[in-house]
Amino acid sequence: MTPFDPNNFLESLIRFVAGTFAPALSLVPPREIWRGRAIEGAACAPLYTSVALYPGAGQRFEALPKKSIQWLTIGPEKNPDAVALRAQKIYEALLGSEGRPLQMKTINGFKTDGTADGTWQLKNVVFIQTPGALGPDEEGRPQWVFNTDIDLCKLT
Amino acid sequence: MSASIDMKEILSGLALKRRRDLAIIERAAGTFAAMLIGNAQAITPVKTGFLQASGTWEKPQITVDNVIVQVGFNASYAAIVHELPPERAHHEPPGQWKFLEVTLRNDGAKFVPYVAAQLKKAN
Repeated sequence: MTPFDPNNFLESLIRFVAGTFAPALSLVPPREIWRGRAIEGAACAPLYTSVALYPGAGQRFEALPKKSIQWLTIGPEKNPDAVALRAQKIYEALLGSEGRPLQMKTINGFKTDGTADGTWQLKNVVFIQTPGALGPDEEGRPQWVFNTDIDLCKLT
Repeated sequence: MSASIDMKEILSGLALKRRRDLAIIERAAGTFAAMLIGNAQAITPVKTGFLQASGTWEKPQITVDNVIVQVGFNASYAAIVHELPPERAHHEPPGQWKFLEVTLRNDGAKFVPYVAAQLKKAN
């Protein structure tokens, strides 16, 4: 079995999602999509999404890693609509052309330093829920979230 | 030549059995939901106890081919406490985020075997 690095997988996934936007979501300061916790400040866009693995799905008798991923979007206090829209567009990036969750989707692989690293396949994307508002954070900023389980494999 | 059987007794017996079975299923589903919420409450973050105490479940809904029980936490801030990751909100152990999701993932698969076992035990 090809060794599995969850950090590289997450990096590849966020780069795939970022690339579905026009223009692409920025991965450089001010960064708009983050692997794990965002570092707020000058390096971070006011409207951004944190994408993080969390201990969710278990693995039964199948030879496929399954990862649970949270997609948390936070934005300016005075623009809640933008936060909702960004969360929705990220959700839609994980849908195929028929509007169904992605299956058997091959994406380019990247290491956490941005260098190319083969390909991954998203075997099956399962949405735990559709994007929804969590309420404001301690600074009054709107927060939207959805969660996914993804069956995956490192193809090359 | 023809024969006939009076089905009334058989049918009413079957209907009675069905009502009893449905009552057993409803009771089992409710018991399971209570257990599940109890397990979720054990890992719900506690400050005043209000969130933990807001765990609840609805009366089981039984259709032709399904049994559904809604479980959850009623506190208005339940979702945000559930979803904020540890780097954004610290919780004293054993409290944790995803307190309901983790419980559902751990225990959800036991629901059908439990209800089936209660039905089998009664029959």
